[in-house]
Amino acid sequence: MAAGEPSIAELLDFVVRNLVDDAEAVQIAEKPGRRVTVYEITVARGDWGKVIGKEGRIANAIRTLAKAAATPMQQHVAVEIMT
Amino acid sequence: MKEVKVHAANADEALADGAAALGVSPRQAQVEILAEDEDGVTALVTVPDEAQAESAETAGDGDSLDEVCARARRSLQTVLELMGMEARCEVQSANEDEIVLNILGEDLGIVIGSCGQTLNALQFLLNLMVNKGGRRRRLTVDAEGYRDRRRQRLEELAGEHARRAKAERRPVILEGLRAAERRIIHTALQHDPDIVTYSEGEEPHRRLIITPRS
Repeated sequence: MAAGEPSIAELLDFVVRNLVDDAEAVQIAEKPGRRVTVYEITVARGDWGKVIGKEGRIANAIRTLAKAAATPMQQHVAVEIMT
Repeated sequence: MKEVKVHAANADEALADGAAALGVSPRQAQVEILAEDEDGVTALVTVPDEAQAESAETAGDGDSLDEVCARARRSLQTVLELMGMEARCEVQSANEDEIVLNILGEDLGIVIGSCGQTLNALQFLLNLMVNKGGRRRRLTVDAEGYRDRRRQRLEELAGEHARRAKAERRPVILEGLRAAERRIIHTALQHDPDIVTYSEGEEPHRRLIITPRS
């Protein structure tokens, strides 16, 4: 892949698939909004802990990464974990 | 089928010793107690043929240092590309305890983030992604020598605050540092006979205190 355009949905998909046990169950939904694009992460129930972490540490690291990737596009992103 | 007779304190130890003698993991071996006496058991440890075959295959199951390095580098490279970064990464150093990956490229401000928060998030996630399952090796992710610069800055900061604590004869409190950053400060000041450093409070509000030795 050529460097240049970030792909937040693909980024989240790659990271989350590598964190969970059940990679097949991973779904990323991209919901563009006027100001903010929302990304909803769905994983198998047994994998919730693997994407949230103690006190949300993993979830927050995922958000930090997504925000950094969106910086050059001057786009606001929100990452939600569907439970 | 391979087998070995061992004498050990109990069945578990017999299994461990026997498996080690046969060069397989204890999971792949079976133990059968032949006799018990006052100082332990005599046991026959066996490895079925299919387990031996499996063992040969899983010897390179991605847990060797080279494999983990390659996997870590590939994962980091993919993440950088998906973030739209024109950057590449290399394994800077690797041993059984720590693998250091370095990101190379121009304008890496985005991967570093303010106070290194993006770099730290990346490092945290990469550790979880790469160390899933097998034995854990610490992965450190650096970019443009950021970790060294940050270390130097923290050591300077440690010196300045230690001087202030001594001059003003009162404790100086440092907040908002991560565990690894606090460790740099503690280490920098551990040989100063005139001050004591310690941390108190719970994450994420843990603070480091530099206090003159009374």
